[in-house]
Amino acid sequence: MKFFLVFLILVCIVGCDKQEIKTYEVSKEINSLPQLEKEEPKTKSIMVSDFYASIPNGWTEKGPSGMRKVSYLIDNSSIDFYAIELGMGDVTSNVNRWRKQIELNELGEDEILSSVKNLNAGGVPVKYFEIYNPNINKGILAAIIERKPSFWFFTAKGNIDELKYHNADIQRFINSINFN
Amino acid sequence: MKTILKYFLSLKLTVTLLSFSMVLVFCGTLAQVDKGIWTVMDQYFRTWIAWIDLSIFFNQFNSLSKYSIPFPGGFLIGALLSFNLLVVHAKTFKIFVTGKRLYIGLFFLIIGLILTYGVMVGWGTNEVAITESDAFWRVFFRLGRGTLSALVLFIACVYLYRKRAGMVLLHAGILLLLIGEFFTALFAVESTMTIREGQTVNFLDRSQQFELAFIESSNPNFDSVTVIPKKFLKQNKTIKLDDIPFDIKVHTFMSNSTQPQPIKNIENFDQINYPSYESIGSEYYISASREVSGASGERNAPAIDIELFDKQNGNSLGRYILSLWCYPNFVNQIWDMPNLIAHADKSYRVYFRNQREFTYAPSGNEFSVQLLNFVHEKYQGTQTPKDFSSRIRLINSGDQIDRELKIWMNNPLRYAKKTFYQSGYLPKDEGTVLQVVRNDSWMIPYLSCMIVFVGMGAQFFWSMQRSKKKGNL
Repeated sequence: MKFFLVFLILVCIVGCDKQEIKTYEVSKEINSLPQLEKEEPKTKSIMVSDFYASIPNGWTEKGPSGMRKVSYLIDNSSIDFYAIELGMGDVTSNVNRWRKQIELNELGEDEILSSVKNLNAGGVPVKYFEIYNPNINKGILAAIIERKPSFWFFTAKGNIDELKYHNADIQRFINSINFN
Repeated sequence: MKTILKYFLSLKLTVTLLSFSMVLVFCGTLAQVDKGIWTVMDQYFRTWIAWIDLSIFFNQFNSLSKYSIPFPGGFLIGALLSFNLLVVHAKTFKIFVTGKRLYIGLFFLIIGLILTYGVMVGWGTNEVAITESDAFWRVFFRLGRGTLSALVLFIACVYLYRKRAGMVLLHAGILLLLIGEFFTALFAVESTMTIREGQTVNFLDRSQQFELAFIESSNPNFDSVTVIPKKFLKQNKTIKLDDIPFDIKVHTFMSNSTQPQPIKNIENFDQINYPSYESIGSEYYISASREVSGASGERNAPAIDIELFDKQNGNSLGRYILSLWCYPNFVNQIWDMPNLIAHADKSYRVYFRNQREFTYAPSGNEFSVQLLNFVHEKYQGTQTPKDFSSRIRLINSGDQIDRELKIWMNNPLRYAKKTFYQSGYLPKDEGTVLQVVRNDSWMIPYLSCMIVFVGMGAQFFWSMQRSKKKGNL
């Protein structure tokens, strides 16, 4: 028994953190990461019938179809990203509608409002939601923009990894929107 | 001492500890709704005393959610269970055999222990181990090695304990599993290695350890890097170092932070109490954020708010916000946003980043990995990923290793006590992200399973024989 206790104490001592403040020199060739773009990725300006925006490289705009004002194809992804304009824009019912689409339970208004991320499209406030269901590996990124008397909905649907990967680009795109 | 031992012999203690462990797992699982998986691991499982947040039960009652209650942590429960098992083992399974039988038993026991150790440390495996064929055989041979040592230990138990051999071996297997998990918790390290095509990398980014790094590049041949591990970055503490010409005061440490947003896009920014930061913080808004849920699979991006002071006159040189979001390898090299600090004729790029570990082989020689080619196959006609693979070059000139190897899904490379798994990729398939795990006790679960399997099999066989003799079967 004594051996066991001593062994346990020794393991704990050996396992103690040995981190320390230090200064070292590293070769530039191996460790210098490429200096990438500091701010936003290269974009090109596009104009849809109702707004201007900057779309990241690798995005292709598709024209209107059905209710969709515009859709975007994102290279190397299966994300379905599109914009529609509706007369109603109740946040709670729309977020719960998206949640149901990816098999999540409905939430109360307070919980939904606590998860909102506020963006800004050319001075117009944007309510942005990131909804994921890891159980079925699906998610929805959605922005609601009120343009009285209507509401614009920008919705990206796809698998979680792809959405997370393109989340920053989508937010930049939303932030770059300027309505006519 | 005898009273303590008697207490540890109790089956009630075993049942109580197992019940505690069930409660702990339940609470730890609930806690992952609000906290990251690693925070929960440290708070509940990899600790001697776990502080259970009442908020996991009473989320709606704000007054209760502030409090935590102490509970035996994973280490304490595991250690007590191991001790309990060991005491019971020592007391119940006594060796009664003598003479030649005892010596033969001890001989097989020593051989079995040596074999077990050999399997654990990988005797007989290649220095650079990679699977080029079906992964099934890799697991099969691993279990086979475990079975070999289990069988030798079983022979030893038969000599030493006769018909109780199965029970003894079974308990020993469970004890080994508990000890193995203890070692894993203490020593296992997870990291990532991010490499662009054509690039050669000789360091890992530790996933759960962080550091503040000041990189000074005035010398054309090398960069001088000063790193301060996170454990030294305590709130309101001032760090004075000889190697850099300013003192560093830590204002706040944030366990998670928001993704940088251009300040011009922040609504009502004037009304936000945002410190006047220099460099990145003057252009981008970064603030503390709630920890991501362990259930979401997302990662926390810790950040730190620091202020620098001139060593000579003590004047403030400005306040800086440093977030993991600004470190290229955290964002799959989508951007590089160092804070830039110039003082006393020197300029620094500053990151709060994953702790960097340079790669060394067991011989002490440094090795590096070059990415030759990254392949990301998709199912025909779709964007659905089918396979990722990295063709790499492993270079260790000190040990005369220069090999081309392929790492792909479920087929890792094992080298230098580390396992390199294919984990992710960079945008536009320009590079690879390898997950690198060092876990010296990784073979213990295989071994334990086979020891328990052999012990259980023997116990069932003898029980069946006894029942047959009694005519019950």
